[in-house]
Amino acid sequence: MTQQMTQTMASLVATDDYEDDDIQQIYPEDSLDRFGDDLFGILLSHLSLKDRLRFECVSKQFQRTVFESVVNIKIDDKLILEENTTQLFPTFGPLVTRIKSVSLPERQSLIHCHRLSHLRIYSLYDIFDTTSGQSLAKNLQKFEFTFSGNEDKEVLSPFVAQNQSLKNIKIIDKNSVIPGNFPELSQQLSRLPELRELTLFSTLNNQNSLNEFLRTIGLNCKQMKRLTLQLMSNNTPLNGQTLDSLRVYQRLKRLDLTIGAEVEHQFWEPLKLCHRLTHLTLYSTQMSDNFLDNCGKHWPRLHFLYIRSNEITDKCLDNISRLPALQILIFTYIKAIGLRDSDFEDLLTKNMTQMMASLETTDDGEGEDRQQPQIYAKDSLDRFGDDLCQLLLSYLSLGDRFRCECVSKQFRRTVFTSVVHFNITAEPIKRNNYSKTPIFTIMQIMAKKCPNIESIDFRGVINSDEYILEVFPVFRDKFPKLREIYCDLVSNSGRWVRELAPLITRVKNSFTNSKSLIDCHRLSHLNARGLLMLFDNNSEQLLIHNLLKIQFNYSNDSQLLSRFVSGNESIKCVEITHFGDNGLTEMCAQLSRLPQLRRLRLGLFNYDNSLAAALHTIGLNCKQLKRLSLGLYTNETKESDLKTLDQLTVCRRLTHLFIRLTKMDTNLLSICDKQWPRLHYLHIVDANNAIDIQCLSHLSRLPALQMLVIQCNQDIDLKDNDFENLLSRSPKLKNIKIIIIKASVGALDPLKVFDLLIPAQSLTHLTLECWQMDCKLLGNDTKHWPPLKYLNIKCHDFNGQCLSHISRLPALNTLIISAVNESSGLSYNDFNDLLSRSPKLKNIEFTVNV
Amino acid sequence: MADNADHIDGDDNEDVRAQQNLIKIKLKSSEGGIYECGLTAAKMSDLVKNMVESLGTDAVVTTEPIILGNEAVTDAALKKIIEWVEFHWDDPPVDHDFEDEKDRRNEELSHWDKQFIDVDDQALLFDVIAAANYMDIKGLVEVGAKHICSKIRGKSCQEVREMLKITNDFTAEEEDAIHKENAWIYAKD
Repeated sequence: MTQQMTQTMASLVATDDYEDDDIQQIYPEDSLDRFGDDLFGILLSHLSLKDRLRFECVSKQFQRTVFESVVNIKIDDKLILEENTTQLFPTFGPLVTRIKSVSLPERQSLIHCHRLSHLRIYSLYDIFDTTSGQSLAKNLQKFEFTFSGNEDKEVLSPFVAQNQSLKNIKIIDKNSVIPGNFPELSQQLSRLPELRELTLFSTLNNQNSLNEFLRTIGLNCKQMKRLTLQLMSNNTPLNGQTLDSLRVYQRLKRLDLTIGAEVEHQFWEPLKLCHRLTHLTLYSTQMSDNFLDNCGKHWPRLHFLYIRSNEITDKCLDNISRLPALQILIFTYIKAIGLRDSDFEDLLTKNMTQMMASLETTDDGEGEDRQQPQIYAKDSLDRFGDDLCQLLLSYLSLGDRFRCECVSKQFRRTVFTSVVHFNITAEPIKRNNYSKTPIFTIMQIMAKKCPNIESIDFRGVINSDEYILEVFPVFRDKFPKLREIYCDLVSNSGRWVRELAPLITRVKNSFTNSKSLIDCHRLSHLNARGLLMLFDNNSEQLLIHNLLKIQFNYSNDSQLLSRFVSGNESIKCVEITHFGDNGLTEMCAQLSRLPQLRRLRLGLFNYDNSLAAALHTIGLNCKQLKRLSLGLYTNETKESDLKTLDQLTVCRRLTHLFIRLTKMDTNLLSICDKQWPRLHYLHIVDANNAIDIQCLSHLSRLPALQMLVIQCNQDIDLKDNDFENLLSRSPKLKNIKIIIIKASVGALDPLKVFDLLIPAQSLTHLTLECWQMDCKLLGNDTKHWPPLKYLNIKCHDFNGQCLSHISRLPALNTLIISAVNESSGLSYNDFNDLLSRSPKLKNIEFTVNV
Repeated sequence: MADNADHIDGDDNEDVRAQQNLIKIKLKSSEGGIYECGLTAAKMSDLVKNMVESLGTDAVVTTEPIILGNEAVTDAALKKIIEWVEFHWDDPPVDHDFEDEKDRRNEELSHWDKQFIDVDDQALLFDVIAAANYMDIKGLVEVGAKHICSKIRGKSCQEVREMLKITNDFTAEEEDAIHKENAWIYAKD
């Protein structure tokens, strides 16, 4: 009773009368009535016609919706194509899209069927107009016929010409006439560029295989994705030869093979080369046990497998369980050797765990294949779509891009599309030295491969190749997205600058002929030797305005600087090298007139005591200054450094600071946290090893510091612990980088570097930047750092002896070596050897930067 | 004095971010696992940021989890992602006055990021990258990309295929043609 009550919580029963329209109907959750007509129609659309007729009277909703989804009716009657068709076809011919059979007298009617796409006939000859010799069916997509030899051969060529759109062909070869006629047939079929699917039924009862026939088609029809072969011959070698043609069908996605006789083990080999298969159907009386060995490797994408065979063994099942993408497995067999139900259950669970594969559609497949999501193993890069793949590969160097182009089609599509900047002096173009391949050719290759190049950097092009800039305007259009050119202006650049000027944005090394600068209206970055070059020789007019960045050597020419500043008030970045020992005050006074200045780099040699006050002026006036680099170099001892840094207190907005002082002192940084509350990048060059624990403790108070770089020489008195301590105490510090510099050639004893590191027994990651690498250095490293997992060495020279020391590191996982000297005499084998001897080593990177 | 005022403005912003990160929201993986994450950190994902902001600014929902439906967002991947954003949420914001993003392309990964991304399970690594891409966390996708590219560096095609389990869908002839086309790049004097 109560149960009844809860189930009929429904207050009103649906009657669908019009008066009820404004009342919200409430239906029980478990009643089909709750669905609206739309959803109902979809649900019922899967019924057969017979059931639809039967169920019409279930309810009014059924009546309304059950026939709505009938869009396709099949009438099985000979009416259409036998009698009366001559009268019928002119009227409804244009609606006909599929025809299953045509009788000879009626074939003329076909000319009315303009939209015909699917056709099945007995003989090709049947659809030809006997008088005109024209094919009656044009632009078909799917076509099935029985090949009858000579007669068909004649009309094949016009048929193919008029049906270039064919995607799907089925040929029945009852009398085994194909082998005798294969050159004609295969050549004609090869002319179908759109062919995706080929079905072939052959009795094959004479002495020739279908090998040549299939091979020709396979080589020519590049789009072929599906192949069905029924070879009813019981001639084993002949079948084997035919199967051999699968070697040229490596692009296949679906393969359906029926073979009348036993196939010897080796004949299956070509099948294993079809790595892209997603569907495989096999009918064969006898299956050799080894056939499925390693099938997971051969068919990584297979998700449908149908095997029909006389017997099946547990070994087969075991092999099948290794298919990473398998979703559907169908067996038809007579005898199962040693198999129980539980074996299949095992297979299912084994497969399930492997099949957590993600679904990503990336395939370049056409037509129907497109809707079918491809399934890739989770740990395969194939799972990513082109967009992500392109993004991931965008961090490769140009050389690596070229090398990896043939990894896969996806790589080929994506590896060059992210190249937006091309530096002509970068590796591997430069190493080539343009001698083997003319620079002109290189530019053309780049234009072809990398359609998205936006900027080209010609800076540093050697003199003999400078003509490239002269001829560049000729093929500039080959880079459709090119917007910026960086180049050097040299003695004869006047000849080409005018042509390229609208594109030039960055210029380096401007020589005396600087007049051409005036044409470069978009110039934003300039690297000049001196300010004098920015003015016209005769009129003394300023040639360049509104720069964003300038780099120059200052030589007490404050007049020129003043004029330059007036014309370039928008400048954001200034880099100055100054060798004189006076004029600082004047220079900084001019710079402080730049309201937009964001970044300032000063390299000062032989500076004097006026520096502190000069910096104060800048700090006071340039409110936007965020990044400051101050390099002070002198042979004299200066007492004023402390005062200099004190003055920087005024630059409270600094986020990045680089300091290289003549004499570093712990006290210099004692109030750094008050001075630069926003500093998140600090780079200190410590030439005299003054940084000590106390100094680190000052640094630890910097509230926003995230990255600390300390450049010092080997004598620095700091341990691993000290830095770890700093990391834990400093509120935001995330990275510390220590760079050990060479004081002067010969003065450094690299062994001392190691003495410094030896106490760090628990070291797991080590990066060494060391000019002279001595194999002795690494001699005892196994003792020093047993837990070392990561070793990164940057050095000048590196030899095999070092490698052998390294191979003894018990926990080493990753080794990265960047050497400068190419003649280090290491071969590929040395690294292979290292990999095999070293217990845990997995990754080696070796680069040579000449 | 004006300088000082400017300065406090900036710090305020930082403080707000720090404050907001104390608010914990819930993220739900495609496998159903629910994990807590600081609000500022979670908003490093543009996807999460848009979801949170489209719900209205005043009340951030901390009880109902944000559902991340993409298959790549497995429990393990989501845990890794939260670890990354919780470390990086207070990174300096992009400063449009400088071309930092361009410069960063060429920079090596930081030590922390290297250790973070160096996972042995390649399926997990790819999940993290795909999930980060889905969640639109540009910095993390970049870390993954640099890691993969550093592994590719200097290797032969076959080694790359084996390492990243890429199916070679070129025929031998096609592959040879590409090799021939690029032969000039390896030519030595």
